[in-house]
Amino acid sequence: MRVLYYPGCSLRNSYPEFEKSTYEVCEKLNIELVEIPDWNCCGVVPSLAADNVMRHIGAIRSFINAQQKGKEIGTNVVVTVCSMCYNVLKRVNLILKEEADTLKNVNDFIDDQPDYVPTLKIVHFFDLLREIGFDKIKEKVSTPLEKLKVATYYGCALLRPEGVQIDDPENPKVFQDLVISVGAEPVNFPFKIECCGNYHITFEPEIVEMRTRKIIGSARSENTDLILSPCPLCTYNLNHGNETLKEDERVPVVFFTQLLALALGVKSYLPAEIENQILKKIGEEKNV
Amino acid sequence: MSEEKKPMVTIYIMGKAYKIPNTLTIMKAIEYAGYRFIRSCGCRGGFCGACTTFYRVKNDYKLHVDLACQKRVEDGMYIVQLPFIPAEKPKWDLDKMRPATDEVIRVFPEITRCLSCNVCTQACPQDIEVMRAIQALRRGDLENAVNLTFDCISCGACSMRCPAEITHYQVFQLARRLYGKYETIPAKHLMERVKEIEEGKFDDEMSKLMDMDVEELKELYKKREIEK
Repeated sequence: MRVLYYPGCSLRNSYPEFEKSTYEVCEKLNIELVEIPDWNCCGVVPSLAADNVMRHIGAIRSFINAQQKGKEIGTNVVVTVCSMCYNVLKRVNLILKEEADTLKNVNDFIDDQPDYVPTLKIVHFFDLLREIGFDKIKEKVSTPLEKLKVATYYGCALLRPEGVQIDDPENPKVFQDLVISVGAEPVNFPFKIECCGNYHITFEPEIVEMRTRKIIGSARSENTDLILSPCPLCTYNLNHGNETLKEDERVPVVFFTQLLALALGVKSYLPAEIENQILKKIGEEKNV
Repeated sequence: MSEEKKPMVTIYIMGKAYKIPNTLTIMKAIEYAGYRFIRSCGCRGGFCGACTTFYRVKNDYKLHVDLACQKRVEDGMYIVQLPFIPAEKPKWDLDKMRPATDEVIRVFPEITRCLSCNVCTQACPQDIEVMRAIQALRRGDLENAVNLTFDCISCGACSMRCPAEITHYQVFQLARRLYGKYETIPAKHLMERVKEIEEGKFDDEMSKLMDMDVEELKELYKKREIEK
């Protein structure tokens, strides 16, 4: 499987382990990621005003570059692992597919690049995993994570608004499917789709603290070993919440690709301490 | 050919019309029209970035930017020169920094406001891909940003046009200095020259110049060797 790949700034600047573990997983699952040349920042926050297209030019310039690269390699599928980037790219692409006048405005404004013809398909990495099939992934697992209890935290960006959701927004299960395929036990906790507080972390960190403490507490009440996150910002906020808790109330937060990499027997880029904890739990002690 | 028979064009300098021979650069044209430069004029050779000039031409909605010393006049040009680009230069200490893009973003957080409009690139008289370089910094690619902006003359046109209010030329200067300090191989000849200067090799010549009066200096300047 060969797809266009949009990494996003957070993976490059804040969480390289998310991207590196993704590459490891892809090699194991025969997914070839072809990075979009000269991709721009996606814009980070989708514009809430319907007519403010200016905020989306960065995403659209990336689409134009992707469209050209896609012709070369014969695909129209763009994949991203960051759930915020996914949310923005998917929403912008939808707008351009549905609103002919907006598309024309944008193409007229971007007069230094070819027009965008909205034929790209924006998908999240979960969509690719689902396409490959969780039973197929299970076959490739070399280190089954038995006995490991994993809370699957979705956040908001993969599920809302309507039109971009990768699963049922009220009761998603794709994340649990992944956890089951690697042999671990998913923890179905009530706060799995609650918002972490998002960008309030910059000006009102108390809001984030309040929310993430609830999320972590809810996951922890089910004796969970780990919280899996699909999102750099959620991870940042959950870690911030962890810092405000006593040591024995904390739950480590890792990216889903890191756990998948560990199960597939490739480099997980997990902190050694967490990797050892997991291996100890599943009874496969490794000498590091 | 006499002056009158040369093809003339009409240009507008800050709104006032002047007939100018079409062979002149904007800089020469402004002088031809009777102005005397006390600013917005430097090397006259396209290197110093002092003569940034904004203009529009007939039947074109685009605002153009060029160096006055490099661009020939066109009929119907409306021109204005910017004497100065207002920008605060933040202080940084290279010794305490790493050659990484997050260091650049820390000093200039406004680069994350980039809207990808690419107006900066369109404003650049040096044809630098300014937006690509800013986005390279967002992507964590310091080397790319440095290489893309090597020809920057710090004229500041990009920074006057940017809706995100980025001062690109200062951002790139920091990027290049970080890269130059930590990532490039030190130039041996430069180190040797710096050592010579520090040891006072040129002190005598320098004080000879400092002691000359203006007339002597002028004479010396006229007789200087010019690279052809």
